[in-house]
Amino acid sequence: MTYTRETDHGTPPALATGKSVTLTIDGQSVTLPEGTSIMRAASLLGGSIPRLCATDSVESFGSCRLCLVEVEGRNGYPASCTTPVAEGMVVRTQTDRLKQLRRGVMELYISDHPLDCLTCGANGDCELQEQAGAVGLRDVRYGYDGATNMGQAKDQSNPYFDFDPSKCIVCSRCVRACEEVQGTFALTIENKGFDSKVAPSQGEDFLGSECVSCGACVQACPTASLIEKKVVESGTPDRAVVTTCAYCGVGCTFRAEMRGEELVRMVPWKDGKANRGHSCVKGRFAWGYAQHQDRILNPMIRASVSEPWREVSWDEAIAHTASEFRRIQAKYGTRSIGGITSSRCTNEETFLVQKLIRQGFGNNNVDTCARVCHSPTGYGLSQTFGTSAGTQDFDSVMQADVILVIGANPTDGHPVFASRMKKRLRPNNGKPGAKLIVIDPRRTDLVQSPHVAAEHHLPLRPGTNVAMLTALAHVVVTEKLYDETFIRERCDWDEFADWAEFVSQPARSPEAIEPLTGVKAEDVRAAARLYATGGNGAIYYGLGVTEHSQGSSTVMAIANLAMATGNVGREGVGVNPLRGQNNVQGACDMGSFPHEFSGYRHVSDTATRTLFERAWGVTLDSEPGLRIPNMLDAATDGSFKGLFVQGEDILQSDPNTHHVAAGLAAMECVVVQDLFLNETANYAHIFLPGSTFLEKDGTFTNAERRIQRVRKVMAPLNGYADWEIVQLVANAMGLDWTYDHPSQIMDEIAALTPTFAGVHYDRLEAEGSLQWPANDAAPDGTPTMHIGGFVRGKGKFVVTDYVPTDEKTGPRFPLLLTTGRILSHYNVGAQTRRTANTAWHPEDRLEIHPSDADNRGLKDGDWVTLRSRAGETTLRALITERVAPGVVYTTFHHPETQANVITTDFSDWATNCPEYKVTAVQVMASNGPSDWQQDYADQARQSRRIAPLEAAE
Amino acid sequence: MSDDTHVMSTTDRLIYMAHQIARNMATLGEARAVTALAAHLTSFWDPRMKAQIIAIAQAEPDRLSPTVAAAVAQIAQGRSAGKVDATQFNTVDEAGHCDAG
Repeated sequence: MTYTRETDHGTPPALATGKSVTLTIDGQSVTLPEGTSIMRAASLLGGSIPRLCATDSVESFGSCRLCLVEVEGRNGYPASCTTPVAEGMVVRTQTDRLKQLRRGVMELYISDHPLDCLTCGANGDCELQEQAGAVGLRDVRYGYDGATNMGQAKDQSNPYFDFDPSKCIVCSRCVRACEEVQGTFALTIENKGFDSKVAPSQGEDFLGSECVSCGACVQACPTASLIEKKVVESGTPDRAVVTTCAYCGVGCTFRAEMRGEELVRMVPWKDGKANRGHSCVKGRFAWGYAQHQDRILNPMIRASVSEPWREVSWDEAIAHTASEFRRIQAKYGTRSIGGITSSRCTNEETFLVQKLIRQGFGNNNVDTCARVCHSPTGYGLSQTFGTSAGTQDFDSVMQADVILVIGANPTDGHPVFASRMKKRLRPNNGKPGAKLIVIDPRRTDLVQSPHVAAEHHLPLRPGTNVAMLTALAHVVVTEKLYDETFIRERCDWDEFADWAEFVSQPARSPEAIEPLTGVKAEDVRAAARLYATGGNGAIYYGLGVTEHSQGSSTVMAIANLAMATGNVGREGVGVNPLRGQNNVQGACDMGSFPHEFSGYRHVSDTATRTLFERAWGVTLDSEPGLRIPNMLDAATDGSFKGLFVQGEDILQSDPNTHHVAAGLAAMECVVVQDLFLNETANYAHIFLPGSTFLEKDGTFTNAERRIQRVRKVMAPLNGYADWEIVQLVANAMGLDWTYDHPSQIMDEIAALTPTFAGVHYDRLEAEGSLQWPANDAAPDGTPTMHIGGFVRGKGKFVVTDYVPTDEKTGPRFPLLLTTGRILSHYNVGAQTRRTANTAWHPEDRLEIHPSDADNRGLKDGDWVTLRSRAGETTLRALITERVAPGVVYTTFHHPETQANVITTDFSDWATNCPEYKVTAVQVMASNGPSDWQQDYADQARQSRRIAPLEAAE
Repeated sequence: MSDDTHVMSTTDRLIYMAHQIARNMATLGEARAVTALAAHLTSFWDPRMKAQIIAIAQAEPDRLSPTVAAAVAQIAQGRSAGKVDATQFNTVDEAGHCDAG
């Protein structure tokens, strides 16, 4: 396959009006939607009108004057990018006069552009070069040494791309991409006329500017002015394979552009329905970890964690794994071992791990990292709506009129979706922007950023979500803003009446809870009125909702609010959890929870169990298994002795590190399958090297229930894809699996899971992606759920009483710590810390309000001790008014900080999802890392030793 | 809980968890809360945890509230169907109902 860029039609598709017009272009008749540009029309006919400032990711601009055409009956030479098609129009795209005009324009461009084409990074992939060819430029009458623009210094501050102003043709494509696609407005054209220059922020370099390094500008640049450093280093790619990003739950699809087995660049795929051709700094650029020197490529074993690792053959490692698990089960019982599936791995791999446990281990001790993020979503939405997933696709946000964001920071956590959301929040083509309500203890970027401002920001105290949502419901009910028709049709009216009576009690009014939440009652009332009456109301939420003692209650409170206002079951509305990991939705769907099979069917359900027993030829356990925190408890009690962990770092990511460490230390065999010697591996006895998403086939399911293909672009450095490794372990335990390709695993999933019945690789190949449920009832998948009725039948109003967390502030721990993420890093940072993304966030910082800092005599950048009832750590302070007085905030991307030493064992009442978002702490000045941090670092160093290979005799 | 320690024994944690669930179900009223709690523990606790709480109910009955004690008694007698109020399961080949707890 030879490499070509994706087809660029020059201007975006017209806004749908339903009307179409017929015209003639170069003698060919064509019928197209009204509002289409002549440029796009010509391109759709297979032609290509010369152009420089137009690209179909941004609105037309009409500045380069290269795309001129002749239209019969019109004077002059209109620009085809800004001229819409009209009924009966007759267009000519190539005439002697047009050729002359275009050459004239091109001469001016080239007179001020370096002619180092052969040694230029964009050689062979440069639109200026291509257009010079297309217009037949043969001579430049003005000479080749333009007065002002050549010889300027490059800005190489960004770790992933260079900016060379000498090669800029001031087409503004980068500036418009930054505004329209990304919504950051970091770039501008400064000065006028011949002095016009692209500039990031106010005279800063790219790294120091507001730029978020999403790369939309680089993709839009027609020359080498903005170019990936990797392309400069390696040359242009020669093939492209569409695959899915392995970072967050947005699930962006990319063209992995390759030369041989070398990945040259990742370019977001325009046809990708999750990302629509956009990306963030992680997906586009931060994939260097795949080849990082820290990757472990050989299996290793050791008898105890105090010994160094010993490299062994795959055969030995697999045989040892199987014999250890069998030995432990023989000694301590069938239920003494278990495993953790990975939300970073594919659906197929996850399915196999839980199959290994249920079929091979003979128990249900399987859990996944959704335990620590969105398990309350599963519980809450199933109780109220009947299904464990978001109700909409991402496109739906474009139809929303009021957007309510609660406990989510999408510009950092889900940046590509945030760009879509911001696009809807800005006025566009005369349509006013959607209104925004943000409920968050911090003043997140969404609250106030260029051309976006929240109508209401309710900065509640961490831990008061249920009180706040009930107060919003109180206003909706007492002011009779609810949608009675919807409720009578779709829900149980008596249940609604019970709930309405509960929320209407004066004790639940905004005024009554003001002392709890710290938010002015009037603001709460105004926000409730806006959500209930502002048109399509869409709720987006994140871990700030789920990671609480009342995570499940909060999810149900959100669902109640959406049902009461009739905001479910059509485009533009809904309840949308922004899922964390790339495949956390999939991991849940695949039966990674200890109480249910794939498709969310309880293990006690005899009919479902029989289905699996027939397919797998064994008797399955009808009792639910252990959840992760329960496994650790059982381990410290001495009844749980062996754990298989695929692609998850529980020691760093799970709460109360001391508790996790004690649990792991009490086990006799911990098997870690991962790319790196992660923190959990410090307590492991067997290490099985994992493979990256670039090295395997499979599927991921994103936050919109969209199942998308992951495609292998290079051979696994470690020798096997992760699904193959699980199969080796299974067969060593006598299970006789015979999968040759992940498509066969998906066929098995489809056969056993009603919601996936129509999901097969040939369908995914044909459709690009499918949103489950995809089966006979919904052959093309389900973009919007609960249309016409809820999955469970009637929507259920669940009374959610506010029960304050037992994690309370007091004289010794007067501040509330909440945790979150930053754009440039991903969760525990195992991948992103091994990329140049560290340029933006080299360490975790503690955000603290100036008044709290003053009280403690702290200056910005000071080392501080952060102490909770669970433990203490040190990090540097960042003084900011983003957090309210009494609240501090940090990220958890760096193992040196180990923010989870601080977090406690408290968890959601229904699902044991940890309460990461509320910890009572004290902050004080410090001299540097704590004893614990030093001990931890020593232990980690000791534990990571790998013995040198003995010479063969 | 005192300010000084945050390490619960697994027994304490189990008791704590049962009461936490009960508190969140309190608005159902006593009778329904007992049934819902029993159903919840049946559906989401592994056999060892269930055995432990039953053992606690026998050895240290004072540590359980009346609601928790009644729910545990239901489980001990094998009376909880596991399908009341708190959860609703799929029938075979039916899409949808789910309970990711």
